[in-house]
Amino acid sequence: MMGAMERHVQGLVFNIQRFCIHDGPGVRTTVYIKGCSLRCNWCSNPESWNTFPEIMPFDKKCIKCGACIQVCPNNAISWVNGARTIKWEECNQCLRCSEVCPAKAIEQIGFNISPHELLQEIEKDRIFYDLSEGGVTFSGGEPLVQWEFVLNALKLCKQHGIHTALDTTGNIRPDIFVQVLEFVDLMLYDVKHLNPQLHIERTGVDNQLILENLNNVKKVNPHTKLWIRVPVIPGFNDSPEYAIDLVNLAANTDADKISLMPYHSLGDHKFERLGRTYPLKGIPALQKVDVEEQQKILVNAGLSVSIGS
Amino acid sequence: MGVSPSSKEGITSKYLLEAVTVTKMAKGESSMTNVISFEDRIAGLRSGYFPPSYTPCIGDISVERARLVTEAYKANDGLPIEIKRAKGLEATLNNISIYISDNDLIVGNVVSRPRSVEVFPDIACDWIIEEIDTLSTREADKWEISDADKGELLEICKWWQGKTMEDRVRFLVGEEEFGLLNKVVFQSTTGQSTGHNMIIPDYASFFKKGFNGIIADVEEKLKECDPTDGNNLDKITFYKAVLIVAKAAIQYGHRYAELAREKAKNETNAWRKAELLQIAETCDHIPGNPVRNFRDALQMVTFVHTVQCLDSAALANGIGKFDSYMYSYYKKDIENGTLTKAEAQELLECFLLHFNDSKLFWPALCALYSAALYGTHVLTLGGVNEQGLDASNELSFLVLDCYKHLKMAQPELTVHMHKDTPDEFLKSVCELLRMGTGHPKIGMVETLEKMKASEPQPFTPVDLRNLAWVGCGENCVPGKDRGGPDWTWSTGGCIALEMALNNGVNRTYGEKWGVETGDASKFNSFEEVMDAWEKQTASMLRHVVIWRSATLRAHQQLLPAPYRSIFVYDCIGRGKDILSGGALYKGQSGATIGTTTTADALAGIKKVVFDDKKCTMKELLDALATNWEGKEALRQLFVNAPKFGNDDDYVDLIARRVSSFQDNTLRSFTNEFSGVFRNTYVHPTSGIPVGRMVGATPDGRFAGEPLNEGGISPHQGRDVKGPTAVIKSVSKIDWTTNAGGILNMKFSPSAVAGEEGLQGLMTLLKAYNRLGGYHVQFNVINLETLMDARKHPEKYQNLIVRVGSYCSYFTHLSEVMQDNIIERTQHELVL
Repeated sequence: MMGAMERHVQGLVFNIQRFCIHDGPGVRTTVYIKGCSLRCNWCSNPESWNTFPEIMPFDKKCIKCGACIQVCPNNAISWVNGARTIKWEECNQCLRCSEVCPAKAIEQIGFNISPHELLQEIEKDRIFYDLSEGGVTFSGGEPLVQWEFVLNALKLCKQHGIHTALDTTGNIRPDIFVQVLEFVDLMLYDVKHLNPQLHIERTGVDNQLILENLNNVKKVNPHTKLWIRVPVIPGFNDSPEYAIDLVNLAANTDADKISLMPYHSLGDHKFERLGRTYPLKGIPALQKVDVEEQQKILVNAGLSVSIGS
Repeated sequence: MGVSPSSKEGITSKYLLEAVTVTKMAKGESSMTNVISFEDRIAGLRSGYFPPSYTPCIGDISVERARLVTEAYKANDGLPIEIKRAKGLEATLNNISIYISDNDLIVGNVVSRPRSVEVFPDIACDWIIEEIDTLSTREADKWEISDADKGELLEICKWWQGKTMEDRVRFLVGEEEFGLLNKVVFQSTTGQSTGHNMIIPDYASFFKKGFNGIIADVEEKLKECDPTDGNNLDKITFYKAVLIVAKAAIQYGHRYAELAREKAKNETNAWRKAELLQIAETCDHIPGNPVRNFRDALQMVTFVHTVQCLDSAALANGIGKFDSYMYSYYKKDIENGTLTKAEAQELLECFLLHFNDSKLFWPALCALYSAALYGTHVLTLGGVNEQGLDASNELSFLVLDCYKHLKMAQPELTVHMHKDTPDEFLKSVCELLRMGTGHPKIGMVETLEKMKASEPQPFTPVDLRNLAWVGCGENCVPGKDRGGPDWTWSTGGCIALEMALNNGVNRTYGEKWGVETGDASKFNSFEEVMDAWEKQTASMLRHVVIWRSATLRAHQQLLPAPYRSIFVYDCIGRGKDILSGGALYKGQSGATIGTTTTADALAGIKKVVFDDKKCTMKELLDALATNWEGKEALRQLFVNAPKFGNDDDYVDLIARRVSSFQDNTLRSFTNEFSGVFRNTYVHPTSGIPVGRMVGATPDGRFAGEPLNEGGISPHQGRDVKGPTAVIKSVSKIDWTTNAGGILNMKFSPSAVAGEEGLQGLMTLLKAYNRLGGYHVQFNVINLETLMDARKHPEKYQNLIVRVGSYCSYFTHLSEVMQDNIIERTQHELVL
């Protein structure tokens, strides 16, 4: 009995960020869940992709003590021109280097935490939620990759009277989605593109499940607020025509708000630190003004629209 | 962005229109009449407070006040000290150069010419003689002085040698203790170069009397004094001194009236001529007589405050709960149609600008402690009224608008917040906050009241509700607290910790300052470390009390304060000077430095040595002794130990223990009037110079690096969990055992942009209030702006930043301090 619960009780989280004021109403704590089923090439949190803990080096902090080189069982770390350098193809993410690094110059991304421990962390800012009608937001990665953990955590938060938001791509089995939905006050629902082919090209997955689940939000749980979040990517979904598609989508799904999230390139250096290549290298970030035309179309259609939150 | 009334509305003054017409008719000519617009007037006045082009110097030294006081002392050599002090102030008020700035509507300046500073050799003069050649080249607060003035000032200082307040302190404590005090009570030199300050006059009562009312009261009192009783002779002397200064203050007003009439004679613009005549009319009435209207009230505060600053080199003085005591005059004038809201704003802005005159001339070391601290003048808004209900009113909003428009460093604005502060007011406050002018700081009424109520003195509930801000982080009851001539910055917890780890020896100086607490390498538990730290702290704080007692006594003997006694109850009634038992409340306060760095360092030892057992005490002590040389990996363990400001009980509770111990140790001493010695956590930038005295510490800090700035703020850059965590950590300090402390937080504008940002700020303040926080202030500034300001100071002359607990101009700060500000954590949002 305990065994079954115990197996799922731990979650892998890579950040718990307090005082978030752009992830739903009020002051919120955002919990970043590790693991993602999509591979969006504009991703700003590539350290979230894998469902296992991994290392992310921070060269500036390195004190060149060599402890990581000594401890690496695969000889994946060596001095190159006086700098500690990781051969990523040799690294099997055993994490020993990050354990011995005294300067935290090799960070471990992802730590295990139980729903109760997580609740304790979330409770720390309870007074700020109460005063601002804020709460907790589960983000990622895709939080539903660890849906059992997230479901437990959501239930606990609801039991303790904490407003819950789920920032999701919706790429999950509909039966699971519906189970989770019951404990979510606000869906921050990411929609990258309505065209299946383009969706596969840029995220690696089809959008069929995503759209199906999106359609279900209000039908299954009318009390859940639905904010559709659109990462506006240059040359992908930033056209005025696409905004018209969004108008229809919002109408069909009974969405309460559309959030336009202009593309920024902050994921760039993270790709580098993880030994990966940033697919959108050199593409400049969008400014507020770049999404104003889309915003206008959405507003004219009578929708509630925000930019960047 | 600024909020200014339309100039159209500004010209509706019936009085002026009539005056202009009368002038024209009397002259029988059509002289020109140019209406001075609100924007032109304020822009012109405002620019007068900045040097014409960028110069490293703040301004220049004026010898006038020093000369006049010295001459008065020489001429009255045989008279009692109270009379000599009064004669010195009288000579100053009668003779110091005065001026009226172009288009100003309020008059009275604490300097004899714009952008200068007066000197107070009567307080301390040795440092002036020592530093006179380096004033324009020193690290912080540079001053120019002409060769002629330099020669005269040196002569004056030589006359004062051996006679100053500082000399008296030296005599009272003895040479050996004096030498040690200048290290352990690190900024004792501050107390010895600034005079009695930190009082707030009871303006509400004084408005009804004026100085003539005081003179009548005192003359009545004099009649009651039976000179056959020897005890009464001291009272009589005190009363005579009060009469001298009260009459001199009235005369000072008449001098401005005369000057205004003089200027009016030569004024070609009929509009300005009428304004000058109105100033003359006001200054013949004020400060001698009761306040009739809003304009009188503003002029009264300006005169009273100006004379206060000319009388004593003041680190900080309060203006009181401004919107509360001014409101009835404002309301009456608005209701009877003699004042429009726009005129009120124009007068208010002229009034507020005057506080930017004031500068403080003090030693290089003090300047480093609190650079560009031009004497803090604190204006309080909001709070609760005497019934305990919200006190904000229409005038509160108008004053906020003035601050949004003026963007000047002084007067410091404090808003008193309580649990029922209306959202609308709080929102206007937060809008001002995020403009990045550094105003206002926020004080929490409930905590203030609790703090004061925990003192042994019997504060009445009404007095507690009347509390107003008086310094960087202190508060007092207007017209009832005696203020502080004996303020101290003691070197605090890190110095004590170093001595605890070195058996009483300070590593930087190689001198034994503390007591013997044993060989720290043999300490077997964290409690043994704490025990040694407590013993060293107690020994240090004893020196602090010695210093404070001697300084108070020296002030009583050499710098009695008949002028300031006028405004504080019940000096006149008792016939006693404010410093010698005349005031109702008589506590003493001073700050200890580096408390959160100390907590981090202690937590480092607990975590790395005793909990994780990653090194021994011996290894740690060796690493500290060599400033972590070759021990970088070990140092990193301490760098990564828990740090204050992250809502982590592990270290936050150590911080509470550290602060409570310091507070209670000081509270165990009482002064001669049964007032307690209170500790505070108010030290603007003192973490920098004290840091230079402290060797490497077990928080991973290198020798000489700054300690935490801003009182109880987390050590720069160590608060990584965001603002809610900072607020929670700071709320764990016991604010009932001390007299306050400052929390400084920095945001980039993007972090508080938009409606979400505004609501975010409001939420932080509300939560801080509910959690029992005491004080918080925000820097809203972006990193790029600061970096650019470092490179191109000429472009950023007006850039105001919060330096610890007060506002100043970024470009006036030393490089070290600019770095320090830049380094502080940017509360960026996660993306």
